Amino acid sequence: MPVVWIVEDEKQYRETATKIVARTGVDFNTEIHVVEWDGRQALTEEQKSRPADMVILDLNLGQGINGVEALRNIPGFDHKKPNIFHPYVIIWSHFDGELELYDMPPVHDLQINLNHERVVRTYWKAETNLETALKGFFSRLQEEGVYHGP
Amino acid sequence: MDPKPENNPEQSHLNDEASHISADIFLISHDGKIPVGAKKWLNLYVKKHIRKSLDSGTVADHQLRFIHITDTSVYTPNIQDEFPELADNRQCFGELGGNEKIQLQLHGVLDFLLFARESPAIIVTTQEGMEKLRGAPGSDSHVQDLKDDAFIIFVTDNKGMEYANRHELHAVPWQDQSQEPVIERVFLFQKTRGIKGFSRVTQGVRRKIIDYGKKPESRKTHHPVLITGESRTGKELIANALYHVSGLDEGKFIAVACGTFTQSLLLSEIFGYWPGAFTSSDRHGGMGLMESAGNGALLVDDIDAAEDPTGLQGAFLRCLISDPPSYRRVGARPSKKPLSETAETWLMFTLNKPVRDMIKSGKLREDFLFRFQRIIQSPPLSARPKDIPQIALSLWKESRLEGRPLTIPVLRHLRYLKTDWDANAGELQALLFLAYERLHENKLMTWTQAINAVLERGEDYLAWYENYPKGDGSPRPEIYGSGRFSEGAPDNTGKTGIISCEFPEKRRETLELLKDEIRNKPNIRFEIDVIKRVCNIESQETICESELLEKKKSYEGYRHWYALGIGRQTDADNESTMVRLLENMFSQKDLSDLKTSFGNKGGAGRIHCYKVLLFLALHPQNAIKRKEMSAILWDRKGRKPLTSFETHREILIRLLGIDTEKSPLKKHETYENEQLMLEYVQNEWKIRLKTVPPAI
Repeated sequence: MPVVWIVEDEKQYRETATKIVARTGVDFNTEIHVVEWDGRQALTEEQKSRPADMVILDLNLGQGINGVEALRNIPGFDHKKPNIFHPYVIIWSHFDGELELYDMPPVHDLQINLNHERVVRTYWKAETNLETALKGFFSRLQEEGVYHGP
Repeated sequence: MDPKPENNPEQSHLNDEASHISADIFLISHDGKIPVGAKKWLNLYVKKHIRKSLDSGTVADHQLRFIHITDTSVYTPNIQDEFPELADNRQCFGELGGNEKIQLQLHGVLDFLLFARESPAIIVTTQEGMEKLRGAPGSDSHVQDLKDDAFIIFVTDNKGMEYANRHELHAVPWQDQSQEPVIERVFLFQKTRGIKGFSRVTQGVRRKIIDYGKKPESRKTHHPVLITGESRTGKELIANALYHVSGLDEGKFIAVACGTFTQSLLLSEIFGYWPGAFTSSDRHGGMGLMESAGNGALLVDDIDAAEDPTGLQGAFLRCLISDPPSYRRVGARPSKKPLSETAETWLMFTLNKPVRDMIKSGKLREDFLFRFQRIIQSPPLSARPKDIPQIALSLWKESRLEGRPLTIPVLRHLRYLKTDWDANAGELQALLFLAYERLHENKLMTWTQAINAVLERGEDYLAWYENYPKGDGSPRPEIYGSGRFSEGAPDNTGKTGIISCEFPEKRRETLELLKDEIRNKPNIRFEIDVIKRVCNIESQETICESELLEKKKSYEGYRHWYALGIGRQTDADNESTMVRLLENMFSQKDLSDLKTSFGNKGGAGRIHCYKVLLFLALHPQNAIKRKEMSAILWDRKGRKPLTSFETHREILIRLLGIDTEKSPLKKHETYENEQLMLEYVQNEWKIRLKTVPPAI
């Protein structure tokens, strides 16, 4: 069963994302396990036991926390080894998220080797954007076979 | 595991470590324990392997990899724990790459063996392991592929041997101490690594390469070799492998493509020349490639592409018969310089047309062919579909493209994609690269989707491969058939986007085409009128009729065809004549089927339909004529059928021999230009039509 992490600080958007993920699951005829996280609280044991297959990521998580930094803590990302098949990342953020990217610490400091083939960015927090990205990545995930982290 | 960080994750699948690995040894067991017998066998095998690899070079070039597979996990065993006796030879053991390991875990052993492996595999297991492997999820074709694989060797106990024999798998018992067959096969692969694929067909080629690479004791140079095969089947790879195997390393390997030079230049390039051999020749003469290859090898590529192939073959006849080859420089004179020289060069030739056809058309001299005692045929891709994954992988690695790696599902998709690869590896390469371009534009697309999209759009020269008319007159069975694309293609309902421009050979397709033609023709009346008004030729229909039937496959048929259906007084008479003709070509049922599809067309309309039907039913066996016909019925790109108006125009152009470039006919494609058309017709057609057909 594929696992989708939704990293988002606003409850309203978390709900929207969950709804869209469920809808996509129906399209692909699979059950999807959704893990919600606001990016600030410590991860529970239950959350830790669910390595991600796909992450829906907000860049501005409030209180100055950057989404890409939060990515480090999600199980499934191994920052030591290069991993061609790391979880898919959909950056679902407001347009000003782009500005934040410039302030982002350089990638090697984060110790995450993001494969740009597996990261997509949507500039508006629109449902259709998220849905298109989800569908595309789900078909890729299906092609490779479900994979729960290294 | 070595936790060495690498900064470039995209690069890590591009490493070329695979060439050092001689064999992968899979240990498949229920709980991770290896039986004692198997352990003994393995110990012995590794020792022999090391000894043999020391003979042929360094141990590090012949690494073995151990992969342990239990019910729950996949891991690389620690050599020191498992085989303490062998721990001294650490450099002899490799490890699975990160990507490979993931692929293996994700898709299972069977798929890994069939689609992603790059070396021979030795599988140590019991009967249960074999059963599990064979019964793994996958279709029957997987099992067939497993059988056809020449480089999967099972090592098993007595029970397992029985099982293997029953299911035609290649296996050796682990009690057996003689391991020569296994070692022989592993090294056979390692030596001929340039050739991709594991199928039995390829194994035959590998055997030949090893065999022909040896110099017979009785000869001073190797036997000359002729390599035949279609283009892009790896003829040059075979030549390289031959050279590599032969151990002529101190010499050189020179290839010359015959198509690049004019004949006389080619001869002086190959054999060299003496001063004054031709105008502006070098004052000191020139050394030929034969001489500069020294005691290496000279590959004469594509002898059929030379300006005068038979002449070139004649020039080589004497070199082929003598050992070492003796030849004559251009412009040699007994008074000046030695008439003939010798070079200890190994001669290789490639030929990319079928030998039989070449001899028939007089382009290949039989005496030239009979000088060869060593001929290798390079099998086309469609004869070894099992090798497609490996070939695709190597093409991908050579291309050095970055981005998404080829994973097992993609390779599996390619393997079962289609059966006719007309342009062999070239087609595969084009498909891969075109698909890659699409992936590069769109991250949200999968490999499979991209490949299908390229096929469906019939892009660029892939479309050409699909569409180009075959000149050999052989019917192509799968042109309109469904299922040409793989089962995996989601929305393929049997209709393909590409219509071949080949002349339809099958009845059923002819009927379908005709029905379409009739349904989409609003302007039949107009054309019939034009023809009637323009061509008031006398009625000589009876002659036409017999002539047509007699020559029904000839180009001449056009004229008679053209005159049909307008000679009689009434439409009904005309129609009955046509029907009589058609009855000779179609069965009653087909005909009545067709008639219903005409619907409520008037007399003239029906006549037109019959005419088109007749036209379609003529199928000349000669290729050129067939091309002409398809040019009439299909647009230039071969995409869609011409409208009947355009068909008429094309036919008339051919009938009258009008030069399309100069004449203003191009403008007449629409009905608005009707007037111009009529004028043209009155001036030209009448005169021609009255004078031209002498047979009538």
